[in-house]
Amino acid sequence: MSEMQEFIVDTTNKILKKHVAKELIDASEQGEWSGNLWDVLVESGLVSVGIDEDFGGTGGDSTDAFAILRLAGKYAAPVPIFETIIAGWLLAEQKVETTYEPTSFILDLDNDLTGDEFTLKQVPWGRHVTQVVYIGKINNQYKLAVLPTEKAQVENNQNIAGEPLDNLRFKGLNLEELTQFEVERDSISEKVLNYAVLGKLAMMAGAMEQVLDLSVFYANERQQFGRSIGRFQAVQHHLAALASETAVVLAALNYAIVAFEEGSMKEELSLAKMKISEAAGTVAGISHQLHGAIGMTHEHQLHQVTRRLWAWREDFGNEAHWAKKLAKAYIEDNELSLWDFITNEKRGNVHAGSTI
Amino acid sequence: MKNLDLPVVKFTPEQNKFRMEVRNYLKSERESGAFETTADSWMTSYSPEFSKKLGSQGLIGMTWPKQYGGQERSAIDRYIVTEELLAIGAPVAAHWFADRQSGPLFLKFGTDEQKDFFLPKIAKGECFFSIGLSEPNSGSDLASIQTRAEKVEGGWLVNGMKIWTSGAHHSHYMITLCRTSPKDEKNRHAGMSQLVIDLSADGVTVQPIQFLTGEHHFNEVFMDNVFVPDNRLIGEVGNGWKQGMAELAYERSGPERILSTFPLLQEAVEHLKEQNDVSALAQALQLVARMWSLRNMSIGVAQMLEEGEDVSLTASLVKDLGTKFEQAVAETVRLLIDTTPSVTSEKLIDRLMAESVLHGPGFTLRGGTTEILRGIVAKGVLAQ
Repeated sequence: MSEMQEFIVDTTNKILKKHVAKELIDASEQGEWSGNLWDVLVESGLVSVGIDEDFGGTGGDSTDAFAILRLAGKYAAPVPIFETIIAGWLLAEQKVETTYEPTSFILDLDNDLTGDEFTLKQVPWGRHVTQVVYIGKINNQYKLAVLPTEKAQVENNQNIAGEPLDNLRFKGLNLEELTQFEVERDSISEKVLNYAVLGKLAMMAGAMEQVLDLSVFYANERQQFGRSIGRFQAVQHHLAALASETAVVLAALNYAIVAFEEGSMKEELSLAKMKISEAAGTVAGISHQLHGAIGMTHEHQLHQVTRRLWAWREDFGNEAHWAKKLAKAYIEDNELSLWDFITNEKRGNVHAGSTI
Repeated sequence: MKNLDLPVVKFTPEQNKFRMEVRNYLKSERESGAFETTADSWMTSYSPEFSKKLGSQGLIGMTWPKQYGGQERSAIDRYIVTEELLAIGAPVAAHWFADRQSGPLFLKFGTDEQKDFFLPKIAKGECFFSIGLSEPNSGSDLASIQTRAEKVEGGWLVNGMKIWTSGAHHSHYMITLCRTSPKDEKNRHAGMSQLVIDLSADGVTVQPIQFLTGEHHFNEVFMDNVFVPDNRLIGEVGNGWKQGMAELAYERSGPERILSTFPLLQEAVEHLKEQNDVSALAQALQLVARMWSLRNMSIGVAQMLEEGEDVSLTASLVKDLGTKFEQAVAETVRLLIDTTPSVTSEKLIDRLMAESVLHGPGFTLRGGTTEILRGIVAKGVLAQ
């Protein structure tokens, strides 16, 4: 980790620790906007990392942003930081300056917006964002467009973590007047998925770190039969399984991030997505077993991370979706044996032993 | 909570080139009939001829100083070679323990005389070692061993018994953990020492224990008043436990804890690819995703070992997850492809399936059981 990144991680950690309490996440689920938290994140430049200062960003690179998102996942920060960062990257690539407004994005290639009445379905954080970066068709042409939400009617909906996933009904918006850019379907889709999947994986890894921390704390604190339950082998094995899954998830994430950063990412994204989405269910399940009944109450904070893991593992396709996609690609590119495929180093060319 | 991130290792173009050279060499050896691919080859596929060939290629003791017959290559280079050997299922059992554990142990704790005597022979692929740890009443509770070495003039007199000693019927020496002073209940790990026992010495009896297939891999080794000269004590008297634990990190985190059944997985993927079976291939690739992640971890641990960092917790994580994965390969593949598992079958996939299923129980036992590893990991995380 670079010094710069250590600083960013440290700052983010302090902010989230101070501002994200269970009550804040509860309130967000009830529909409240976490305005204070958002303002602090904006002022600290954390929603605009990875965007050049020329476009109003904070500078830094995508690795810094993934480190921030990992912490956002860990604390279950109830703000659209993931959506805003990635929307910001997509806009900066079109030379659009960052506004620091809460922004969402939606990749919906089958949608075609026409006329002056249309709907965007399942927009993350739709009710709280001021604009949505839409990637899909407008009048039968693939576009990346910015849709201001002020004229949209919001139909509330949520994912199983209680995060907004709203339908936005737009009326009277002139499609011609939108900020918009022509895009090529496959390349924009790949780009958005690369950003989005990696960002979400970082958040899932963070959430798993939190699950492990909560579980260790509980195993030390909870007493039964006159001793802490962490002294029982059966419980220790749960803890070991949680630590193992978390460590292997981080190994998957970190390799994918390095491949991405070097511009050599190919199947690393699928493999990381497949492993981490699979681990999400395992980790959530074990942690609930370890916590017993208290872990399934609303009062306890465990569900704030486990419900996110259950929600996020489906985002942008679950592990089976990505496995099938990879299988198809592998059958088409039939040359490589499995071992060639696994050791087909495209990252490389940097000294052995570099660490992130 | 301690950070569970491991280093991300990037192979250099030179290393990638080296990997291809090793791979091509092994493929040509297989084509010339020097060996057949097997699952679990590092434990069960024994060929002194092939070990000697690898030695002559400079592929044993690669990281050791040149003065002892090594190549002074990096731990990552060695990692590449071990991976390539396992992926193709080459017969490496003869020299495996000497290369992995005994050599590094001599380098770290041995005398100059011991290094001069043993290391060049090991690097040539001519000198094989077994590891004498478990005893009939000391399995997971290793500190309870009873084999004892008494000080006598000019050396030690060893009495006791070791069990599950892989390859002792082939090996020349056994690094033997013994009690050199009586057990102290307050400090159970004190009073043990490591001695090199010459397996052809008077008083040593090696008896086979048949594996469940009837094959002969492991043994009982009886030691009846075996004299071990002073110069065959490794390191310090009484420091045997600590020295032995340092070896375990190498033993637990290597690619052999992930790749024992890889030949089966590769063969299965080839079948499914040929059949254009996207849905079954997708399920096989889910295993590949696990393997890729584990491999990233294992390489990270290798890097940390090279840098002298403490990896006892992470090495245990790798072994626990890796060996479970090795078992999962057979259990998943059998549902994706119809096979008739048979060690005598001419069909490669049938044979690899048979080997993977039959050897499966050992994966999560050898080198520290899953239960012991999880105990180590849990204590590590609870203490933080």
